[in-house]
Amino acid sequence: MTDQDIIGLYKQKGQEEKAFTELLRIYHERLYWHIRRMVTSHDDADDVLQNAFLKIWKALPNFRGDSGLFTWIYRIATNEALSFLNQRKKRLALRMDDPDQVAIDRLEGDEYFDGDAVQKKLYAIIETLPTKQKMVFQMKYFDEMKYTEIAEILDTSVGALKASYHHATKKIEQAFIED
Amino acid sequence: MKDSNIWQDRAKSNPFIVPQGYFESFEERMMARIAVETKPATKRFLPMPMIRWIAGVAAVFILGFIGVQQFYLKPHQVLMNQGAMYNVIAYYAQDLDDASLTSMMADNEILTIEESQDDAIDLMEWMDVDEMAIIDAMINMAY
Repeated sequence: MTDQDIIGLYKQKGQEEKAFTELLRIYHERLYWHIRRMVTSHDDADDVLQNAFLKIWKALPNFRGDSGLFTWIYRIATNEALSFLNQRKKRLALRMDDPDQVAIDRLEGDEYFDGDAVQKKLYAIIETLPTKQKMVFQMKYFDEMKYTEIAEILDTSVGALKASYHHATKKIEQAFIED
Repeated sequence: MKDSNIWQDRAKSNPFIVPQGYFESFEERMMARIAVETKPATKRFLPMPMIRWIAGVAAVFILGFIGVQQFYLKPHQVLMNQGAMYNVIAYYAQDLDDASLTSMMADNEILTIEESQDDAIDLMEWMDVDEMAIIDAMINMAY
């Protein structure tokens, strides 16, 4: 079922839940991994994903179709993850914890992280990137999205995204050199 | 010099795992959550005996208050606050005698006003508001 089909089904009276179930079926896994790479913890990713879909459900009546359906729900999920990360950052700042060490500790203590030392370090470094930079890096590198798609989701210019991605990769490379 | 691109060899493989059955059960859990979170507020449908009881208590209260006001309260009229109203509810629940009720109402005196026809009307309007508060309190107690 395409995005157009889902919207068409949703607009039929009494079919809203069926349309939303289709939307869930098609996109929940992809959105989960997008969120999971940002927040790293499975439990946090599950919370953020559910909150995102709840917002999507409530906002669907107002979906105007200015952007594609996937772009729209991806943006909601991204904003939900961003909010979560900002709150986490504030809590860490209040506790005056070292964010790098906290990120590593979180991964080491996570039963649902099965990476080796290099991957652990990589994700710990990614976690220390400025939030928008981290977002761009993950969407470009892991999700393999085009700059134009990312620009529409993050409401940023392609030039700014390219610069942001370049800085992110340089920081990661530098962190591995210094190790 | 260390290979700064060492991370590229490992980056694309996914180190994250999920609990067994997580994705398979996600739709069901999500729809269940939506059903709970978007549940409309339930209307209160009171059984008729409850409605009659509330109406009876409200009528007795109004008549009783008017009587108490005329024969037991001081010349300065008293505006009862919500707390006093709930005490009256307790009166009917606990079978307090009139003297105890009068004392409770006197203790809750918050304002005195000069006797006047306009103030009496204000008092009745105040009574209507509190009467609804009584019904709300009873409904909350029932549910």
